[in-house]
Amino acid sequence: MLRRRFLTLFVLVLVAAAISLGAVAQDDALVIWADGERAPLLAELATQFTEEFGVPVEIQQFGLGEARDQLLVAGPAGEGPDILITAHDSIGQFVANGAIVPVNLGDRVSEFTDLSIDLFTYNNQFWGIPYATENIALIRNVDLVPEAPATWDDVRTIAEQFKADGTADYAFLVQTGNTYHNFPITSAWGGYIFGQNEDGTFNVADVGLGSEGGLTAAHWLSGMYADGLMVPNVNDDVVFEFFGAGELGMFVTGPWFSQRIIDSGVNYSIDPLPGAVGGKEVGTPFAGGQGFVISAFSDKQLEAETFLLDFVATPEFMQAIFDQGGRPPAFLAVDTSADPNIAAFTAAGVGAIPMPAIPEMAAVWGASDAALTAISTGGDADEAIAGAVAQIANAIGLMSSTERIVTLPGAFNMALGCAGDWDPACRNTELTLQDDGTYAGTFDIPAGTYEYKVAINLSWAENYGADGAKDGANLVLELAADSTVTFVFDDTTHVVTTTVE
Amino acid sequence: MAVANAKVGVPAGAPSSHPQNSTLWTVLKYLGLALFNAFTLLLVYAFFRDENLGLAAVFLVIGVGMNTIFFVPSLYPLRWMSPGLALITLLVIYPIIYTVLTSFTNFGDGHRLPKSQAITQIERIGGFIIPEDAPRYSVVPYRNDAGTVALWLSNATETIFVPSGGAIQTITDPPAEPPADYDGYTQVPRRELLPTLREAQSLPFGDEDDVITVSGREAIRATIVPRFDYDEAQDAIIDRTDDTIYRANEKTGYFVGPNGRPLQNQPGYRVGVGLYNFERMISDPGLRGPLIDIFVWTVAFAFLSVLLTFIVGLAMALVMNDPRMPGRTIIRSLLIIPYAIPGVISIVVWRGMLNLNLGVITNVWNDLFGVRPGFLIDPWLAKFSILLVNTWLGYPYMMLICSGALQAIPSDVYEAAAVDGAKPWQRFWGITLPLLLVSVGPLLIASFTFNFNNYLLIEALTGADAPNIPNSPVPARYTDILISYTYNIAFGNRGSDYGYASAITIVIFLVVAVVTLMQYRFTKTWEQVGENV
Repeated sequence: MLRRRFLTLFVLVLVAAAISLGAVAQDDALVIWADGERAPLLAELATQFTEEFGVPVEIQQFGLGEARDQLLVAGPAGEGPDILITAHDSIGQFVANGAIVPVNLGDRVSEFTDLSIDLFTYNNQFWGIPYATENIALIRNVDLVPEAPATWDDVRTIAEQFKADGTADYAFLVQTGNTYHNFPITSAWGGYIFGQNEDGTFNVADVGLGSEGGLTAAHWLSGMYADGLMVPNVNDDVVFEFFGAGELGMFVTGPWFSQRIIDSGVNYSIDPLPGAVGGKEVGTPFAGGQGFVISAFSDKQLEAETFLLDFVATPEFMQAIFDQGGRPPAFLAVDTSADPNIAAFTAAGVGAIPMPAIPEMAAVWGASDAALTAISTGGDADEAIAGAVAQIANAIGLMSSTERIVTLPGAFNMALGCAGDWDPACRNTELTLQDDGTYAGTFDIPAGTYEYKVAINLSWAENYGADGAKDGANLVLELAADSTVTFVFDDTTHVVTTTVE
Repeated sequence: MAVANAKVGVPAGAPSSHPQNSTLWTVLKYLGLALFNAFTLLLVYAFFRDENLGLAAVFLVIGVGMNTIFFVPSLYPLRWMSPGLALITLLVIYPIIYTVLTSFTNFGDGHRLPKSQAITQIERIGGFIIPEDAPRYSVVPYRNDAGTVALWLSNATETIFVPSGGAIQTITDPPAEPPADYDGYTQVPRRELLPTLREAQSLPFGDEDDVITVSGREAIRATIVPRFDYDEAQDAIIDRTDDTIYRANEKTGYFVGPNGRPLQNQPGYRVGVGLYNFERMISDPGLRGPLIDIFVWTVAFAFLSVLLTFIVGLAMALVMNDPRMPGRTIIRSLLIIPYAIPGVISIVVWRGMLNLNLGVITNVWNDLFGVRPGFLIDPWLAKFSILLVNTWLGYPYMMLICSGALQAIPSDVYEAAAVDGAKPWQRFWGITLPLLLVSVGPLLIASFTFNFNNYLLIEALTGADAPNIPNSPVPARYTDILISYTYNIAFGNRGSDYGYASAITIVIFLVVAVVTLMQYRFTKTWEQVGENV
């Protein structure tokens, strides 16, 4: 009896398992993840694609950030989309995780704006089909400020004048503690986020917020707040409230608030951002972009590429996206004449700086935002910026710590062509990983006695000295004559051995 | 019991008073179990297929456990607990084990994939090496009745036709559009275009000296090779453009080239890193810097939140408990409103009301006293605002539980006190409060623990506006509590580093566990007080 019951049970299990397996078997649809605005447009396109190629298309709705996070989780499990819409600054994270494939545009590169091509190029490869770009611009109440200011000093002059004669509460306000909106001020004086290497990649050891231009900009901000010309605790709602009430002369925002600017009922103008005396003539905001990328976990590369190149990258569809989204188009053939605001934003974006898509940017936002907040409430500008630069270096040091860069900051650095001695960020002294797991490098060093240390990841955050002690005493190198010295660093014991030839 | 009493297929003579009912019930029961097993097996299979061995094991354990409980009569009582046990295994025990295991790996951005999958991705993303001078053509596929595929290839300089395994024919003076039929071959309809192209990728075209290869949607007149391939003997990825060897480094989880740099534009893979994440935590300046200040504020915040909500809630409950109070029911309902509105909404409204420039409260204050206090941007005022809002959010809960507990205090105690001539104040301190604490004490502890980890309030109320602690090695706000601070350390400013985040989580868990244990000690003291009253 019992045995037969188990047999029945077993058969039932098998049958049920077979049914369920059939139900979850992978189907052949091309899966696209799109945000709420783009999804309905793609649905029409999908029908055409299915009719023509007989490949079913499934559009699933995801916000951009959610799509990014989910791709990285679902993709490796074989559950992700074949195509998804993304912001350009996620590309660094996608590439680091092997989640998207490069796209070969061929001759069709010329159909897109140069800016959009720049945005979707990462580490010298091209990764997607852009459809829109975006940047902020200066929004001005023409009745209060008849002439667009040419420099940030002019902005200050107008603000002082407003304060003296009471024209309006504020001449200019900027979103507090927000690096993205404050960046044009930083960049006007020549401040930047990361320096660039010769090959166009970023040098994350060179944080430009603390450069001369970056500091000048911080002082300008600090002066504006200290003299009561700007106020802290400002966000998008605050600027629009003051602007709509005619109590704000100018502010910065992007095309996503185009309609809100119109709705404010103010006689407005959208202008390029001010430059700075001794800096740039015209301010340069961050440029961002959105586009389609192909998942590297997809086994339908051919279908995905066909869909994007033959159906998405067409004047009709790009126009449809533009008509709905209202951001500067990435596709040159799109007619923007119906929306004068967009033309103005596009003009303000000439020379805009592509927002770095490298993962290290994650370290920048929090630290830089914090510095800007501190400045807004009367914090010392130099201290706040120095703090942010240190925080960024710390975070990057910990972030890339599985990918270790070993350098030898010391008294011989200048002899090896570094900008200064004791520079952990100078790569001229870099030791490279050997097959045996040690790091080694050979350098020609003139005679003399030198002290030096070992620094990890181009900063002092992790450094080793004599006997492999962390933060230990300086190592000493004595050379009776000009010599060729080989340094070998063992990253397990942290001990350095030198061989002098 | 299930096994002993089950009488499948024995309609007559069954001991049950409702034999048919019982049979039906048994069948249903077995059917249910079979479905459950099928579903579990399916999940185990699916997770196993996706190389997610952890979850596969968990579902296997749950499946085996459920069946054991079902079939072993002595475990019968456990049956009523089994859904709970299964869910605890899945949602509590497994995540804990997973977190601990993850903390010993470098799982995170750049190292999300297991090694085998990273290799697959690298080979796929690398694509093919295409000689620069090789002619490239756009492709129109054809097929004849025998099923042989042929290609009509054209570019700016020439048009050619080549059947699979046949000779290349150059077409002089080609038509503007590829013809529907050519040389016995028929152009493939659009619906079969993509499958045919895919098939053509693995077919030989041209001859040994003049090879044509289909790659994606174009054809190349050259042999193409994948850019990267994995050499198992050397355990390395080889870049075929210049035969550079990128050796697998099991320490860092990267394929590392001769210059010490990992393969550009390619993922690393997941490896065990031992105690590295914990070492990193010790050397992380973020965990040395403002951590003590933040810990003190966390405890103060949680304690004061409980105290203030309890005082306000108790006061309200006492007032509402007085029968002389008119309109009690309506007022009590109104007082519960802050509790009924979703917290996020209340917090955002408060954030608006406290804004320096637009906030109602700031504006009124400005009209009255001529200054605008920085409720959200001054270090101390921001802390005050947090407590204020949390008291607003939390007092209705305290009022509810105090009201209930007050009703439960027997009135004869008060009568005895009245006989002894106790004043109202004495009655409150001597009777009401101690007896109340006995019953609401554990709830106060729970409230403390909840506030200790009240991430939502801190983040939603003082997110970007909050004042920052100067000279901190990582961004830290004066209002940060342990959980919001460590969340920012783990995720905020260095992408997703799950290994490191797990290590931090474990430490936080230990801290919270210790704090909770101490509270339970405290509760026991209370209970003893309660027994003595």
